[in-house]
Amino acid sequence: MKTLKFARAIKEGFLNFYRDKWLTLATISVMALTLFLIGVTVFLGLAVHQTIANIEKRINISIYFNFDVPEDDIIAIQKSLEEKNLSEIQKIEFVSRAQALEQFKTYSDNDPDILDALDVVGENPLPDALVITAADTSNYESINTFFEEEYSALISNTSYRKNKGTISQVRDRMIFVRNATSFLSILFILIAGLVTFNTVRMSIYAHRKEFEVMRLVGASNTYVKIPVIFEGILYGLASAICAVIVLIVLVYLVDPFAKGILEDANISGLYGSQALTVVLSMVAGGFVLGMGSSYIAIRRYLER
Amino acid sequence: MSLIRFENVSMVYPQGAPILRDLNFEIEQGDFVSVIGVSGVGKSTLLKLIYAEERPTEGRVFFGERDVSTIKKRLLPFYRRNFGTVFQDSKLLDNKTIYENVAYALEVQGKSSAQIGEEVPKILEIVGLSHQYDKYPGQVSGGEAQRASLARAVIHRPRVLVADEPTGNLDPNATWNIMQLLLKINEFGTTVILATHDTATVDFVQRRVIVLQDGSIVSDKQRGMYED
Repeated sequence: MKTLKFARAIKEGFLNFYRDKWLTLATISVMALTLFLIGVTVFLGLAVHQTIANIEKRINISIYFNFDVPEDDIIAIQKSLEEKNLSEIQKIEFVSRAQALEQFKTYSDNDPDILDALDVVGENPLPDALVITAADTSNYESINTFFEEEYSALISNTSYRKNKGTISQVRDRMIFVRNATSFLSILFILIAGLVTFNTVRMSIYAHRKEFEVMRLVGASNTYVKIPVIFEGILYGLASAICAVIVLIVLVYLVDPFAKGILEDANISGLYGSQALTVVLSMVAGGFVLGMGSSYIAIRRYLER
Repeated sequence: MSLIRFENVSMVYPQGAPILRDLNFEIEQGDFVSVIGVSGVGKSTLLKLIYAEERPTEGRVFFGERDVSTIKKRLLPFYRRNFGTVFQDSKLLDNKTIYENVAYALEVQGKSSAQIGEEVPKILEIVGLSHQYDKYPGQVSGGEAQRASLARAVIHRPRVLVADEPTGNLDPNATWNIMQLLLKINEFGTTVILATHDTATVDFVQRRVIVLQDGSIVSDKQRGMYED
């Protein structure tokens, strides 16, 4: 009998969802909008984190070796460090004097003045170097100290001292952006949650007289509750599907414009790689918000 | 033993004047009782005390041997299955058809689909709504809605039918129909408790009449008329 009553209660939820078309439409519109906000927030959060990770990848320090240190010795140091597999270091790259000069010329756009200056110097003034990318920007200080202490006799200079201020500034800003994004995400999700809760509550308020009648004809509280909670879940899932569709369309519409502004922006690519996370967040958000809101709202009417 | 017994029952709504004062009466199984009095005298409250929508401030209401006030909240829906209720507004569920509204009373009790499919058409025929079964409450007349409400109230064969101003919104013809149905239901053994201020209905029934005035019973006659 319990199974029969449960199946009937579920059918009730479906019928309410289907028959109260205007109420359903109004509820889903507002919920879809708030879930869309959650989706955009999650997506932007992921985009910010990915952008920060990309920026972090571009930060590195160069360890310049004395001119009399043979190239093979430097490559041996690189290999020995790579074999140690240090957690602080993500990548070690050897840049020879010749490569350094080529890069310098490229960076300076083959400026005639610089080329003349190099001619005057006569020989390549740039030393061999190891370019280190750290696993985390906070590791650069210790990496630099390590090289300065361990290989002091071989090293002429490092770029860390010169770039220390910039690295720390970039790091501070990234931490700020990361924290601000997390804070805003939580704030938006809270707002979205409150709006959804109130929307579902209003739709249940519209049914309040029916609950009284249901109880008068002998429906148990559970029998009244299940259809309402199920209806709430349906609201949540339908809203999530609408919000996901709008988000996907928006991502592909915005992508070309973003590429026009930022050369390496790839919103659709990022969305593609994170689509499952974003879609699951929205569907789970819809499910939980729909179910939770309806459960809390219906309890009020059944307390008497 | 009486079916319903009021023992020194008084009722005061929070921050309000007393609505019922020291009521003592009994109703037997199979009775047809009209509770009459002007609007606001406490007729609806008296009915609510019977089906435990309200609890008395003082005194006790018994259903059989059971003190209604002692029934736990979660068990109230099961207690209420002893009753069928009809109100001035039919209180049908707007998003269900007439058939579904009537069937709902059986569904909540876990009756089988086969039983529901057998019982509902029968009761709809008795109340004269066979042809309106697929209409929604908004698509039928007030009298038809009230007949559907009556069908829903009795389909599970309750021991007591509680009717609170069931003819209040109806024209004389529809009123006559409803009263005929109430009498027929009573003939089948169901106790009927009717609250009304409509003189014609009470005169038509000519059964037991309890008169309420200022929250107290001022008259209780076995075969009464409104003007008695």
